[in-house]
Amino acid sequence: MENKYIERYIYAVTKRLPLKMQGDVAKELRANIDDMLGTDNPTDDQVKEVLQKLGHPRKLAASYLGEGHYVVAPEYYADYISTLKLVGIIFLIVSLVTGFISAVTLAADQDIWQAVEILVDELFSDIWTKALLAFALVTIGFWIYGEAQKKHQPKAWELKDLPELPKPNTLKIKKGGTIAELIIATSLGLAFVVLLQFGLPYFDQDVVNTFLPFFYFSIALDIAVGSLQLIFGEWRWPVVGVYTFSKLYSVFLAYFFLYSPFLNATWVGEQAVLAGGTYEEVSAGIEMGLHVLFAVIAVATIIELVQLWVRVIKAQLAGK
Amino acid sequence: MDETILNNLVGELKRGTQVLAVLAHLHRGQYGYSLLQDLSSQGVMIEAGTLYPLLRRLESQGLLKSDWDTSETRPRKYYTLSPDGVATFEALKKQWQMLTDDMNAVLKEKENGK
Repeated sequence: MENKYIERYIYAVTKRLPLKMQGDVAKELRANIDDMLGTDNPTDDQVKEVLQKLGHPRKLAASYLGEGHYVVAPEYYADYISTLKLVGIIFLIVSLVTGFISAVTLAADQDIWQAVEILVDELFSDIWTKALLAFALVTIGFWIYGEAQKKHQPKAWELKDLPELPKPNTLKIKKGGTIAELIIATSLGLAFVVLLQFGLPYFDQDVVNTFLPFFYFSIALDIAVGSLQLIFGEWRWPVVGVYTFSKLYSVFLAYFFLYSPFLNATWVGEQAVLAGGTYEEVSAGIEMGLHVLFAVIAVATIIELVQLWVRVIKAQLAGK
Repeated sequence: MDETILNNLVGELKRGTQVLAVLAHLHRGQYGYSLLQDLSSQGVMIEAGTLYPLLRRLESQGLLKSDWDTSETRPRKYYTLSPDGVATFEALKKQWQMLTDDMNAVLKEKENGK
């Protein structure tokens, strides 16, 4: 007599097998179960006992499939994880940089709050899609590579293929330097904010006030970066990430501040009188100066970040 | 002593001998359940869920051949050693004897405190 649990068990096993195996395994499994039961009219309890003895259908199916069915084989697992990390980081940088560029382009004529909204939107809108894409690409890559390797004899390896030992401490952050930087950056930042807040004649107070929270945040970021550097003591990914973010944030803030009407028009007018030129001439001169200032800040920051990233990625690759 | 670790180690030791035990019993044709009973009557503990897939695997490797017997009320699949299986079994048996000799020597040496 056919028992519904037996048929369901056999189905649970065979549905996990390739089509060409299914029929034969089902037939054999049914015969084996009948033999184990030893009776044509088993009770549900007897059926239960026999099926429990055979084990979980998933496990039994895996035994029928044999060993070695992996998306990423164990011997490649460590390489897979480190590649995932590296590719993840590269994707993150690319999406941060492209997001940043498109945000700056889009936000050029907006006020600072709208600009921040656009920035957040651009940076994070499709970061998950990109992260998933990176994950999928690496996984598929390893799967294809693993499958291809199965068909080859294991390659002989040479001693010269062994990785070089990483240079010690290339990523070390000097404590003294960090503390000095932290103190200088914080005090200069605070001095600047105080200067803005207590209304010097050459600033337009309304415009400056809008920017104050952003400058405070910038100081907080500097402190966070300094603290992370001290805690970790070397350029680990969290430190590099927060540092990069704080630098990009500074450039972003500099852009919006320097291109905002933060200068007091009356003061500019007075300067024009003192210099003996027209308002337009002086204002154009100041604008020119601000362009140069921003360009210097942006270029210096980018060079610094690129150097840091190259150094960190190099050390990561060498350490692999 | 950690019982779990010990059980795992014993399991590993036994797993290595399962194929040899199965091949040793298949000079004459046997179906899955009869082989299972045969083995367990000799103290070779192998689970049904391990044995049935193992038989198929050995067949796909060419060490066993199989036939369905449908003459009785219950159809049964009988496995026997193929000529290649016989040769493999003999070679494996020899390896096993060498291995046990070596291991006995190693363990004896330790016992004598050398």
